[in-house]
Amino acid sequence: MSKHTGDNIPRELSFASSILESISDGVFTIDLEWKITTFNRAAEKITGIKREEAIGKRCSDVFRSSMCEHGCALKQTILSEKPVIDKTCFIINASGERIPISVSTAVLKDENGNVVGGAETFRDLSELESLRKEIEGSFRIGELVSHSPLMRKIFEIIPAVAESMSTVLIQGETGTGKEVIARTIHSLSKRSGKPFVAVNCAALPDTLLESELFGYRAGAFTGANKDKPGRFQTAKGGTLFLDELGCISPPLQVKLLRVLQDGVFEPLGSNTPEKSNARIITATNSDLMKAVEEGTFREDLYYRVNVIRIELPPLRNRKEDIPLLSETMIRRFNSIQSAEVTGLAPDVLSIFMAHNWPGNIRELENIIERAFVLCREGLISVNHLPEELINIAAPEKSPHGIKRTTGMLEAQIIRSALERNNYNREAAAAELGIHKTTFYRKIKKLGLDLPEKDGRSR
Amino acid sequence: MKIALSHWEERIAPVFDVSGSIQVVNIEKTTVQNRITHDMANSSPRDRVAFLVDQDVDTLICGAISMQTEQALNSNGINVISFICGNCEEILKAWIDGKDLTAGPAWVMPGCCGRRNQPRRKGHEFGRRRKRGCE
Repeated sequence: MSKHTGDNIPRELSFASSILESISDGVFTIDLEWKITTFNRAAEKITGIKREEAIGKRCSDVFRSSMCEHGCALKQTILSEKPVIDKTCFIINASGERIPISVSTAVLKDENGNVVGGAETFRDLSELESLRKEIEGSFRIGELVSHSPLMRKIFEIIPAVAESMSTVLIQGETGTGKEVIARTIHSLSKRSGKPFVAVNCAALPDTLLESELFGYRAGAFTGANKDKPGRFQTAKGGTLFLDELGCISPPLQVKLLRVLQDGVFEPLGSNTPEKSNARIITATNSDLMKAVEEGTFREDLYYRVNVIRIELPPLRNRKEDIPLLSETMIRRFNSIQSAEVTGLAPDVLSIFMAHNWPGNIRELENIIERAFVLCREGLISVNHLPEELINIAAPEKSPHGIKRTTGMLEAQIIRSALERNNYNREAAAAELGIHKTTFYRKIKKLGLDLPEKDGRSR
Repeated sequence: MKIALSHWEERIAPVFDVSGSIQVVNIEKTTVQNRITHDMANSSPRDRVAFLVDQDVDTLICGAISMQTEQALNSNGINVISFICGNCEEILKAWIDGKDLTAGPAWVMPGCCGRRNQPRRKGHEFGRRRKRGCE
């Protein structure tokens, strides 16, 4: 029999109430009709809702979390009578701010063991989230994320590039994120409120591309019943991103050169020049200089687009980014698909580190997206990877497994050391604690293709 | 005139940004002409904005909404009546009857009375199209 306080409230209840009021985690309880029955002080503080407004209301109208509709933790707990621990989601407060939280739940039973409701505790993760962002801050600009020294150099120049009006040429293999760089430049520029228009020059035949870029007037050709503005016009005041620039034909190169030089173009079927003030960002995965030498790309256009050049390294040269990129993608897919994947299993990460990634970041993204189809929670394991990736990255199955694996690891370590030391071989050897002769021998043995610069030349 | 309701179990969905379906209702004068429920599961907030713009929706009635999504809708000329809760049918009827959904606590989510919200409608605006921000 419990002792009673002066107000005739059982002492245990009074204690529980005091404890609930003193803790920094938000706590509320509900009955079986999803109505809130208790709401502590921390819950008031985190949600910005007063207790008297919350009590008696439906919990989803008060709590407004991203999982109320799909995957309500309380519902899960009441149905299964098993607690949910530290499930992360966000709530939206009255100002429209998203507050990241972690949620734990428990079932409430009466003295006869009948379920009478549920209790939910939630913790505000805003501070933790902002600390995490601060730590990541030096590795992140806009949508870009990296730990690589090669990418760091690009991150350093992007704010200045965004400030300027100059034409940019982004070079990099397919899937390295050329459009992401272009979007980031646009979003950091003063033009961010204006349109960002992307055109893939390789996706359209030449005649269509011309009308797509410059637009046409009614009657310009059969079927042109009315005027159609081109992408240059749509991107007015904003940014026009021309991907796969190396694929455009010589006649179209001349037209493009005119826009870039004089800022004017003529829609098809029109004799009146129109002005364009769109900023041009171009991208290619081919060697434009080589194309100039071969005569397939105009030299004057090359120099016109090559005012600022950004070279994106392939993923195989910045494998240290794989864990960070994977984590970012997992977080994004979790949010879009309401999944609860927590990360990559260690052997998956080993496979990822050993793979050569010919499709670069796009390939990594596709593999993680595919894994999400098979894996909805916990760690992504080898079973969730496509067969071909496991076969490619399973050198232990070959007779020279250990040698090949060691070689790959050595190559990766040497490459990273060189990048960190601006390709100064001697400094990289010193960092790795080996003699420079051994270092050179290893480079030769592993057949590493390294840039000519050695970090000492000016 | 087209209005959209963020829909969940016959109630307004608690969070528009992740709601599973949106009901688009075509209203002429004070009569519901037709309504279609669209599956929006796994759509990003950006896709939702694009969808409502594409559907030519004039007004969205929804529950909680992140400020970025609300701003994106407003800048595309869509009037947003946000932080509303309750039965969809009752809310739709009240709106058609010209009631101000945000005036009292009846349909406003707890803790959201008096938040800066959409301008109070003065009577019906049927037939009068809001100017789209992107036009």
